[in-house]
Amino acid sequence: MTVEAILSSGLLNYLVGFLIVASIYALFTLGLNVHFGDTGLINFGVAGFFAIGAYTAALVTKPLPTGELARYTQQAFGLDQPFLVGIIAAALVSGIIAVLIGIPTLRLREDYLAIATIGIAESIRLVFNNEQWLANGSKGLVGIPRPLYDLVPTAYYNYVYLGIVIIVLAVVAVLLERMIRSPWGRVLRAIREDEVVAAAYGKNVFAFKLQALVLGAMVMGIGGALYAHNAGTISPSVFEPVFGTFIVWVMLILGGSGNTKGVILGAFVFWAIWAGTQFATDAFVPPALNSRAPHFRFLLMETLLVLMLLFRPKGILGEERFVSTLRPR
Amino acid sequence: MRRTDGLLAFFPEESDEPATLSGSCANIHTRERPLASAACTIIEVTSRHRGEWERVSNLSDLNMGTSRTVATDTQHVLLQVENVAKSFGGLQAVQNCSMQVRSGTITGLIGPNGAGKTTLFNLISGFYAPDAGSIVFQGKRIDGLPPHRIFHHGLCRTFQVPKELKQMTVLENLMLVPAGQAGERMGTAWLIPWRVRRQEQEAYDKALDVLEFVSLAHLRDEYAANLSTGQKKLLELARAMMTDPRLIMLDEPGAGVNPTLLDSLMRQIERLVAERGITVLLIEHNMAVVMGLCDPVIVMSNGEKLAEGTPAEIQRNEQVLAAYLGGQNR
Repeated sequence: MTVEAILSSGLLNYLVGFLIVASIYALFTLGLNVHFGDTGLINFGVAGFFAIGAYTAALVTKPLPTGELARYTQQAFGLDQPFLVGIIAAALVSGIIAVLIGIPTLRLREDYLAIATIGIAESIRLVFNNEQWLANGSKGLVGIPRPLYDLVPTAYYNYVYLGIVIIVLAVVAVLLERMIRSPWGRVLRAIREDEVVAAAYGKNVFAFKLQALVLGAMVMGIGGALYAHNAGTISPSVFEPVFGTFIVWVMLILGGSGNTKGVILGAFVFWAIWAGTQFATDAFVPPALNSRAPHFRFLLMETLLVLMLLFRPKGILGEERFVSTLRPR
Repeated sequence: MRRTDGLLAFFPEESDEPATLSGSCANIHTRERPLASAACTIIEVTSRHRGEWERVSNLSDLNMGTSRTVATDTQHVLLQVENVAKSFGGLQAVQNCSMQVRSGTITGLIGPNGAGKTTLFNLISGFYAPDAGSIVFQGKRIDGLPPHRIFHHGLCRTFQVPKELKQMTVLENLMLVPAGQAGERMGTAWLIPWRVRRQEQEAYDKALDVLEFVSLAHLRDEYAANLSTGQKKLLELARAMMTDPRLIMLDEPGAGVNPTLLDSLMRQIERLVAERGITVLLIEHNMAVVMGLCDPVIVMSNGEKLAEGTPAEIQRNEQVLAAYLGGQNR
């Protein structure tokens, strides 16, 4: 594809698609920020909550397949509910799964928690992959309904969906920011800094960690739901660790772990680099080399992460000095 | 089981007269210890926070069952450690250790390195569960409870190696501490912001008072990581002062603190006892601090209590000298 072709096919449309995906990633980053940035929980299993959110939203909003489609599609249930019900269900189911994961793992030391979460996320993906009856196994689900689809002509639908995603992102960010920048968030930061001190001063460390894990997981679940409705189709391969977890970590560190505005910025900046390099390789790299380009992009991403950790470990924005904004100034 | 009956002579607990205590240390340090007024302050402090303590003790009754409530022989014993033992692998860190801390005292805990002092602190504050024995605080068994529950019984500790919350300001290191903050429940910043704000104001005012008290007020907006070692020690003390505990356990409060600051630190610890009716149990290696500040002094060696008495008695005790000078042999 040449530059002219891309422009004529709608650069603006490309930009809208970019913003939708970046906003969805911003939600994952916000969730991870509650886990790692605020509480110090090393969750390498973002993809697990992403998958649970996406599959829950799909199964809640999709009807059961009928006619010819039913011969090729198995799904445990299809509730045919509105979009908003799907979002809420995605958040709730992710939260419940987080409780079940948190009870055995949150008493582990932080490095063991990291190992456990990788395993759990992979297990979740493999369950969806292998349990045909649940959500059609490796073939995945198609035809996930899109909210307000009849509102505008199909060609302009992306703008509507971008509006929905931005509203959800803004609401979640404002809710989280106020919740975190309070005495509750101060306890979380104390746990991140030294949980022994938090315990010595009467804080129930396990309970606070569980709350943080559940809250972050619910936000990730919402992100997963928005992803499913945007893509219209999901399969287990979407939830592999690189795109489900690793990228989110890079965004978090890039933007500024512990800072709500920073992590949203990190998601957009990173996705701009990611999408921008794809754009550039498509446009300028000869087709013979094009197939190798993705590897260079991974290299670029990893170099970026290392440079960030070396020279600006607090990220673009870094966290605010004070946690609680409810204290007197 | 090498405890000698003769050592019991050092226990001052049988003679309960304030006159004896202050008389015995008058030659070492010229200060007054108004025990009677301290006791009054305790009553004031307790009644002021009665609601909170009642709530806490009700909770602990629910969880521990009434069978764990132990009657005390004398109301002056605040903390009673009975035959406590703890080993790590083959190392018997604390064995058959019994001691008590009485209300209104500054009890010193000394002993050679590796005597088990810090392990005993960790046992009392709940970071370790004892292998054997019992720990009774204010008539309630606290051994085996998690640290955060023990804190709510009115027992607060500091750490030997300062555990400042590095990426938090000095002020927020302190504002973290007060118990019963409504804002510490998830979402209350949205649901009842006015109440959270009011409590934040209270915690803020209190933190500023405490920071004035330990002369750290000018550093209140600094990250705790940037403090000097001595300042971090003061921060440890300041955090402990943010609560109204019955007992503060200080693990080497003077280590790494310069001599001038050390002097003011000692005076501040004395003020805690005299003005706020808090009882102090402290580990210290600086003998000038121990002999000037503490009465009684408890000596630990090889994980056991070796001796207890007034500073003067401890200084004369040959077993104590042997433990310090002759390694761990007695």
